[in-house]
Amino acid sequence: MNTQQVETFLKLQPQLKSAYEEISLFSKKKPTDALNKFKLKFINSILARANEILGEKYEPFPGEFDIFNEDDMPNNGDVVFILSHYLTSLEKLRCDNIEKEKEYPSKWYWTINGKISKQETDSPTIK
Amino acid sequence: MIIRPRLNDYHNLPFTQEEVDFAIPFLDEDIPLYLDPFLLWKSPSQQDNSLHAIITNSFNYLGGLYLKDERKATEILKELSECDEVGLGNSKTKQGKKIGDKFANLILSTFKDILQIQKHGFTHFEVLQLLIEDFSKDRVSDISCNFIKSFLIDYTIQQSEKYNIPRESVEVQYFDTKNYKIISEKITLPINPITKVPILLTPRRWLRFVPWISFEDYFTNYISTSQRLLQGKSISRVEILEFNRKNYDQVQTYIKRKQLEQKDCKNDPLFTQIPILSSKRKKDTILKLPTGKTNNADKEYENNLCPLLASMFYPELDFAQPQSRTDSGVLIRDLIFYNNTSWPLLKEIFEKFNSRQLIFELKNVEALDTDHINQLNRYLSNEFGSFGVIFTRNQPPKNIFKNTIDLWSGQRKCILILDDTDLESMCQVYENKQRKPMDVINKKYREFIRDCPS
Repeated sequence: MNTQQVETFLKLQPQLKSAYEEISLFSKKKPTDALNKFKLKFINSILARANEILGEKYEPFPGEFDIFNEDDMPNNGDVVFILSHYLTSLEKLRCDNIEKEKEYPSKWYWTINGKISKQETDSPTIK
Repeated sequence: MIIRPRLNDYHNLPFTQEEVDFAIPFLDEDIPLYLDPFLLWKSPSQQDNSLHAIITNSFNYLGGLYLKDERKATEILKELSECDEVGLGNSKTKQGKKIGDKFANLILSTFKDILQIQKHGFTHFEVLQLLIEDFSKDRVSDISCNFIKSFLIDYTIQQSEKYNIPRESVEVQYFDTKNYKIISEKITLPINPITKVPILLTPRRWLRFVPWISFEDYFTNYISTSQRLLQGKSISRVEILEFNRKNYDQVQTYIKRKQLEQKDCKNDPLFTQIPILSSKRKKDTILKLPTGKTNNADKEYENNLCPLLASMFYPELDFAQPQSRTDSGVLIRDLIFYNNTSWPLLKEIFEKFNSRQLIFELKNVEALDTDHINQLNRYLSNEFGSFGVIFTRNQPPKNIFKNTIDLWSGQRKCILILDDTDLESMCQVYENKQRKPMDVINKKYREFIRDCPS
């Protein structure tokens, strides 16, 4: 990943997580309620950017799903399902692009253009 | 032939009732609403108030004229007693009957017989409903319309220009409120293609099913406290009218009360959606119904689904009417909607399938069979084009669904089948307002098209 991609990732992941948490709350009460067009528009925007950064290698459902079709009237449950997979895929992408420094305190940093950078990050959650 | 055609359907003008300021007139029947002058009186608009003043002053002028020249006054009143151009009322033929000499005399004699009216005239001439037998809401409406016909002509021309309603040159008679006489003028107005009568549009905000001041309201809410009624004795209508003429101060007290209560006086829309609670109850009733005809389950299904669908599709689809027809001895119940192309899907249906009206067939059956599809298929023509919807209880068997795909492949006809699950989705979105029930129809249509061979 390059600097631009890491910056995009750092903006995208919290957005996706926030959307997941919001829709999960709706889904707990009314999983089969359809999402309104306003929310769907922004979720699709997040998913489109996620697809770009994940690429075919990391997309959760390559060739089968890229964004929601408004005409299909996706419900809260559908959206939570997809967003959770995208969160996992983004985390996998992150874990594959970070490195632990050799010296103490052995923090984790993003690898940018193949080299360990100064951008600190959390330790991996997926191997 | 369009069922229950309206002016905009005839001219292919894509607007819904919700979008326009006026009540869209039917071409072969009246709109079941009446102009209530009280709505002009209580309106915050000075224009409406001055129109009310025109109505009242004009009627009082006729009363004054009656005291000098009975024949002249009654001749004018007879001419003003019917207004076919506005198309309001309960007539199924759009042609009303003017009043005769005797009735015109009876109406205007109130200026002679009742001192308060002789001295001060009427403030609300619809009070005549409380004084004269057979003077009802349709006369109130028609006479009012005739007094403000000049305004209605200007209003109609303005609205026609706004919505591109075609107009033709036609001779129209109207009451000149400056010289207090009926004059004739050549004006361009929309014309009813069936009756060839010019059409006048009326603002929706002036229309009610029953006038605010009416005999029924007077009897139910005012007289009901009379000692005789409380003692269980009955009072005839004639007695009440007679009493009112002799005790006009009672009527004036009633008018004062109605004026104080004016906040509650609202116009009646042509169509009102059922409340969400009511829609939930209807949906629950439908879902619990057995399939078939046992214990009139089919009638129950139709009677509950009709208002539910009409409400859920409003305002995207204006409801025309339910209809019953027979096909090979089988009774079929349909719901007909006007296709105003107000929704992208509806525009597509209009352009692709030539559907100027949409037909929804209701089938309370366990499983659809080929006959059901063929019944609707045979009916799809003319104004319905090649698009129809069947509402039924369960998902169709695979071979029946394939039947609909084959119909599309062979004849480019689209028959969508919706079941209880789809109805639940529609009710859900109707309740939570996140999407529209029309979106469910759109979803089924897209799924159907995806399954069709390209």
